[in-house]
Amino acid sequence: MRVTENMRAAQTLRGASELRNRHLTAAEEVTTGVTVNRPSDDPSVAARLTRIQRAREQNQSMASAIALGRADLELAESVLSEAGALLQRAQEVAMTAANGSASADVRRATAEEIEGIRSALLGLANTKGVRGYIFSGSRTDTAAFDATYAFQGDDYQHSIRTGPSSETTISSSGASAFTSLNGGRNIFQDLTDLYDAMVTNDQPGIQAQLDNLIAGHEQVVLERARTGVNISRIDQNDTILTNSTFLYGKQQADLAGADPAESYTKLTLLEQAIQRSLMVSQQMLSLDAFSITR
Amino acid sequence: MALSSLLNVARDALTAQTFGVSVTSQNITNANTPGYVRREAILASRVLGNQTYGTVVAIGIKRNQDSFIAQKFLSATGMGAAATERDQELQQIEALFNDMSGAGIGEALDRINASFQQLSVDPGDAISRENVLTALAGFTGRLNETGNALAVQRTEIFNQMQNQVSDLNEKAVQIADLNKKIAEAVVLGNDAADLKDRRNQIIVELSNIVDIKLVEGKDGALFVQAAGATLVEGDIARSFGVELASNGDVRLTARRTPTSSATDVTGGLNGGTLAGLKETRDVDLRAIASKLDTFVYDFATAMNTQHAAGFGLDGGTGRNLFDLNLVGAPPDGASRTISLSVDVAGQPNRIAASDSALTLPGSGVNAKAITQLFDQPVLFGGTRTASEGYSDIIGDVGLRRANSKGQMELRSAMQAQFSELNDAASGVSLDEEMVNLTKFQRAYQAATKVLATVDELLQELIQRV
Repeated sequence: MRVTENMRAAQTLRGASELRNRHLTAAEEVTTGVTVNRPSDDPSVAARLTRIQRAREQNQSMASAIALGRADLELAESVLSEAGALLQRAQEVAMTAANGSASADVRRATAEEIEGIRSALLGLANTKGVRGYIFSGSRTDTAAFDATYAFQGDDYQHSIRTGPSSETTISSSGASAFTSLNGGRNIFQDLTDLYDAMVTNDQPGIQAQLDNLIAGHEQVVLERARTGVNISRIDQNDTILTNSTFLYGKQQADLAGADPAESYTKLTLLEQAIQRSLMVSQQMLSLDAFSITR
Repeated sequence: MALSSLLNVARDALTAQTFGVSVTSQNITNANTPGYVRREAILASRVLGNQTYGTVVAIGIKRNQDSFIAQKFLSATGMGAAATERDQELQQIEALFNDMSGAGIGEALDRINASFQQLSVDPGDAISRENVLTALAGFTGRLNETGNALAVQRTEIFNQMQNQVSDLNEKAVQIADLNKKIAEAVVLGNDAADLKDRRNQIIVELSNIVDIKLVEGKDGALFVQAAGATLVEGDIARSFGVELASNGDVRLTARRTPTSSATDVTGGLNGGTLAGLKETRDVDLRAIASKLDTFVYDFATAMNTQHAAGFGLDGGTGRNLFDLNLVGAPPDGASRTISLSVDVAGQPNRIAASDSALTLPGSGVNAKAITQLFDQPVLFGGTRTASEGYSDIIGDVGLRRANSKGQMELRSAMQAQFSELNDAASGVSLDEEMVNLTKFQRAYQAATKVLATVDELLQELIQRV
């Protein structure tokens, strides 16, 4: 085949262009640390990376939601713990007052303490958290109990997504803890009845309220336990989310992560190839009969 | 033979070798001229009368071209140009969907998901509600940008095709004009090599625009067929055009005269930038835009339906999140026209986080249901989730670009191969020209020697007389 000047020039150009392109790709791989920098680099991997990234982002948004939801749940548990202690104290006071030897004066004095407990319990039941009143159910903008101890909230259980197919309740039920809406005791009513029985020196009445107080206390303890279980559940889900986020990251790295040693080696080899190519091109293009014989 | 006749022989030799040097110089001068076909000086012996000795004469030049290889080279050039053009256009499209570099539609989807997730935790929170509106606006803005970019690219490609057809028509006129001049030169017995070279160059440029076939007539005029239709016949150039068909696709048309009716020749368009542009516009861009519109329409419809089932802080219900002002039958134009619904725009309290008017403001049931949509197959006929639907588009765009890149590389290699073959037949080799130059130089020197010898002989004779 005849070898013409255009052929030599074109071949040199093609070789240099090809090497430069490969060098550019290798340099991009080194600087970005990934082998798939655009969909066409590997369409199937790019599509999978996109899906994994969505799942990873969703995990992170769920983890943020958990962190946001956890504060009020922990507050509720702490408040219910306090409420339980108050009811424990109320039981002790009631037992003292229920004693047959207690005088009317003693009972009136203990009635004052019960009144204090009722007020303190009202304050606890109307605690405000990050999201509003924590025992009002969905009516977070309204105090759970008004001044007459009437419940103003509802039995709404606030749950959020804590995993692709799991949900966790991030609220504590004021209705279950303090009212008879779910078949329990109306604790404020029981305390009021106890107070009235003490003021009126009604020993059988006090005795009758003692059982109600025990039931009410158990009710609060039970709601606290449920709250604790929910805290534990969101902790577990948070751990699962953290683990799966890590795994998603690992999958992304496995699919498209560049091995630094391999990338640098490739880049160095290509740099050497370009240098050799340029030298050969220079020799090839300067090699003709005119320059040799003339 | 008389001594004086030998002077004539030497003269002819000098003339012929000078012609050879002249042709060689022309080749050397045009070593890098595009379209130039190397010449070869044709020397022949001239018999003087019926005598057994003669002299030399330069009878002309020969353009060394292999028409079969040349045609293959033109076809390969056209196919290469089509693939390169498509790849360049797809590169722009790929940039729109390159989520790997961040700020893609996928990220906008994530923000919506995260904002509703946050709202589901604290439905009464004003900042969370503002976040939702910001995320929704970011999503619609990103889609409008992408949808418009695809539509603008389609329009720009059409404009580009119009420009290229105009260029094609201009080149057809130039070829017809050169055909005429070449035929006239051939009639007069000239080779018209320079005119042919110029025409050759235009033909190569033309083959970049459209796939062409050539037949050379006896008069030297070229019959040129473009996209399977006659473009140039003798000194007559036809007129091509592009127009939009009723379905929005580009049609390539040909007219015998400017006033005659247009014939659709689109079916014959297989090569050149016109073919690459048409394929990108009417196949790739159409498919990608359609998928994106379906994705947007299905996603927005599912979101609207779920949102409409919920209640805002003001107790209102039945409100949409997105407005879809389609430009045709659904989902046509969804990505370009989607906007934040007037039901909720600027009114964060209207975001329906609750599933009941009775559980305001603390219920996040509907916000939670909206985040669940991201994991449900509500797109593409209930077969794909939002994440899957979008990743399908990414995969499709990637496949198209990877395919065009592969096609471009393959066709470039073929083009390079035929270019080499074509060049091997018609290109200039400086080595060869060096040898030719030396050959003609030595022959010229020898003829000069003959002349000097004859001159010496004649002087000798004159002195003796």
